[in-house]
Amino acid sequence: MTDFVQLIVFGIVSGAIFALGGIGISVIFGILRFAHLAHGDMMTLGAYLALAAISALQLPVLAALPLAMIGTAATAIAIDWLFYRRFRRARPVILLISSFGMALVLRSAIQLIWGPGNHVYESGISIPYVLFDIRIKPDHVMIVGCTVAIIVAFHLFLTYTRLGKAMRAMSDDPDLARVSGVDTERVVVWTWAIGGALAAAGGVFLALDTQLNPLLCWNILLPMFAAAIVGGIGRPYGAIAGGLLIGIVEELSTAVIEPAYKPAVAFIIMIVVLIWRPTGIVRSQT
Amino acid sequence: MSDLLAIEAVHGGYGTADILNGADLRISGPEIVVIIGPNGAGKSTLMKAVFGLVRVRVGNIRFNGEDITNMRADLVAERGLAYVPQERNVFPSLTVDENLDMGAYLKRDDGKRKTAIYEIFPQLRLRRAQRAGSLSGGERQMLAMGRALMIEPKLLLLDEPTAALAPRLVDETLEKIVEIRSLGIGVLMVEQNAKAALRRADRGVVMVMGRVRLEDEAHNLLARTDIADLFLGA
Repeated sequence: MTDFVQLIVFGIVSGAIFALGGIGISVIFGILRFAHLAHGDMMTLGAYLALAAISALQLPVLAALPLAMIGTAATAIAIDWLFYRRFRRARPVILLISSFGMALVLRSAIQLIWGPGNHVYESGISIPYVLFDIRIKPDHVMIVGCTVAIIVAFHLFLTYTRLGKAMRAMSDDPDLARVSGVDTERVVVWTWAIGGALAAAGGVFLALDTQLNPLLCWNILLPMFAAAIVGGIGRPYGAIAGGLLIGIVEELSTAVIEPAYKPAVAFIIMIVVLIWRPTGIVRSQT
Repeated sequence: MSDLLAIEAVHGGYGTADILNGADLRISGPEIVVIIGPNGAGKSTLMKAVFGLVRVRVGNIRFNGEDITNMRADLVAERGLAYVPQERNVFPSLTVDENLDMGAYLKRDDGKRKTAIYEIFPQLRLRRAQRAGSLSGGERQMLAMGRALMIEPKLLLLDEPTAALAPRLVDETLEKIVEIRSLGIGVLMVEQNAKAALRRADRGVVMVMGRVRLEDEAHNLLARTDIADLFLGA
């Protein structure tokens, strides 16, 4: 039983990271209608920007996090302005392939600046908290706590701000949003800003839990996409549910199968959920 | 009186195919103008062209004297034009209240406009926290018109506002449109329930093959047997 609960704790941590990446993938798909394959590398960039802030300014990780989020959001906006904007009217497959190219550009840039080796934010041993024989690392508490705070802030933004409602409206129907007077290009800029900021948070948290390397978040791109699809692509709340589901089931699966098969578990979950609910966990209203 | 909306010799459509072949239309103020015609005549395409959703290749569209040809839809809305498409005319995942908020995206509402909309469509007030995707067809249509009115338009474009509505709701919807005109708002609508619409309209235009072929006072069109046989049903 203890092992089971311990695996659920690890699953919640993984799920939080998948959710942060999945929200960005889902929001970008909902508004711009393409699968952003560079999202994993955008997360990795965020993780490295935090490393730069920690090294240069001697900041703790928690203080470097907002700087990394701002830096990644600005980079995402710049990438859209310089690159994706030119493909607005192109077919989604063109954008999909372009985003794969951007993934390679970002990864190469990271390797050029920080090198191909591994890095860590802080070295040393962190003593876990022990609660009913369940061991919880302080980093995990921080990851889950920050993710909950970020998701609550994101929910409040979507529900109560004019721009958040415009994002949801544009995700429902971009043409109707336009005829209602919504400046859709402004919404697109904010979509990249939010997607980039959440990606940075996910990247920093994964780096905190493991080690930084240029393939850090490329390696979790598939479970993040699975989270977005399982939740109902284009539905950010679905991505949160999908992320947690995939994170927890992946970790639980290690009790019975080799951990190397974890990525396959994400696909099995995706297939089962899509058979059960073809539009994903969070159903679209038509 | 200067024209509120002037559509002049407009050609355009989707891709390389022109649906509109020299369409002309003028609206001079708060009047109800009904466009009738066979399927494929370009009636809905004309409305989309006004809003920049369909490319105008030749000709021009002016609103209040300003050229709005191929202008971005949000900028057209900013100038005081509102549009209710035939389908997908509400944001399904947003609540009724939030749909109306979207109508007020350009001009922020201190609550007065929303209150006025709920007075025109009282049944929406009861559903204000409900998602638009779960509304009935009639309620969706009311919400779509309410969202458009939140823009405080000078002219409202309605594409088949009574399509797929139960017969008892057709008259109710058309009466709401008359009420909208009484607020000083012009209405240009495409309508398949042509006879019922023309009874409440000031003018009617007949579109065929992407052009306006006939334009007259609504009561004159209703009296014409050739028009009745072709477009107004039994």
